[in-house]
Amino acid sequence: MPRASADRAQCRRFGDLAPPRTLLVERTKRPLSEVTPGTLASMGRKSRTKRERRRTSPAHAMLAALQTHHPVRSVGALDDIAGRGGIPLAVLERALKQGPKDLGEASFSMLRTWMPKEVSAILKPNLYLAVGATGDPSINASTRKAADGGWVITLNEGLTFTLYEVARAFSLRVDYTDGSMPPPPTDPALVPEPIAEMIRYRLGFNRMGGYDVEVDAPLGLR
Amino acid sequence: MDFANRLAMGAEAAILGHELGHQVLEHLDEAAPPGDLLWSRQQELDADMAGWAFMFASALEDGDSDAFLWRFACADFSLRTIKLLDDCRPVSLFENSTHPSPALRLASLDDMARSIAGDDSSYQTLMALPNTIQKACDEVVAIFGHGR
Repeated sequence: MPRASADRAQCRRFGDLAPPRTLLVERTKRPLSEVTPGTLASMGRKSRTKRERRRTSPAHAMLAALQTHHPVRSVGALDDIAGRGGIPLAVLERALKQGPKDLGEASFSMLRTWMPKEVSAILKPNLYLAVGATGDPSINASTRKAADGGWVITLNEGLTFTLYEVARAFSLRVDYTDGSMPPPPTDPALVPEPIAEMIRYRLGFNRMGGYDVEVDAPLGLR
Repeated sequence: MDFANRLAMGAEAAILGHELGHQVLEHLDEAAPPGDLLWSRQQELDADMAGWAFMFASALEDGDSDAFLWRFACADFSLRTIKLLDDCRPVSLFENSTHPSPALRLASLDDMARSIAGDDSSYQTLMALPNTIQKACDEVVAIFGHGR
């Protein structure tokens, strides 16, 4: 797994890396599950059945409390959402970038693969849900309910860009235990100033535009 | 996909999980009375918990510690980035906000991390990447010199 190394970052800035499973494997030590107690430590222990893990998992307890929502209809296309949701299509089209490479859709697809089967199964057939990235430069995300009960969730471009810019700069500080990464192209000691400059730009730009950095706008239609 | 893309997308997934949490918990049907900051902030913390459940539950239940460590880092990064942006401002946006401060939300995530980790060694492993990022954040904030 990545480990802290402010002085000796050995990753590269761009290019392909191994998927998270490989990235996060601690190759030089015993697995966590063999050396530590607690929930994390109990992961993968053969003596515990999946049912036992589910019963004792804090996440399972949370999920049990969450599964009380009212499912609605299946996922709709943009014009379907506009028609059924009472939102002018032109407004939605301006707001939501269409296409398979929409950042919001891609991230949500990833979240879906992470979700427990129980939750994903409820969402898939029943939920009328649209997720998309907007061109809005404010650093924000929002959720709203369409007129007929569907759900619309948007990520603003200002937020997605900022997350990537910060992640890209900070990745210079991440070390990889497998030693496969070449040295970074930039001295990690130089990381803070470019990030500070990006933040100056973002905050100044957003202030001029009347936006703010608060993530997640007040609930409801905006 | 490079590390930065993967981390940013994971953070976006965490934010989407939070927004989905608002929907699942029916917060839009019971919006906080205007000015009731305690109510709205509690809704935000509840939505955080729901989003984290969406992200972490399957990894915990499947005993996949690699997946859990990565998803935790992504959730942490999403909040730490917001905290970084706010810390770079002369005055925090969150003093009279409908949202709790990013520091409080990170503390909530930290509570969960300690509970799941079970001991200090596991906790430190869990926090390795977040701590690295926080150190860099501190250096960025120092450049602004607001002294908050």
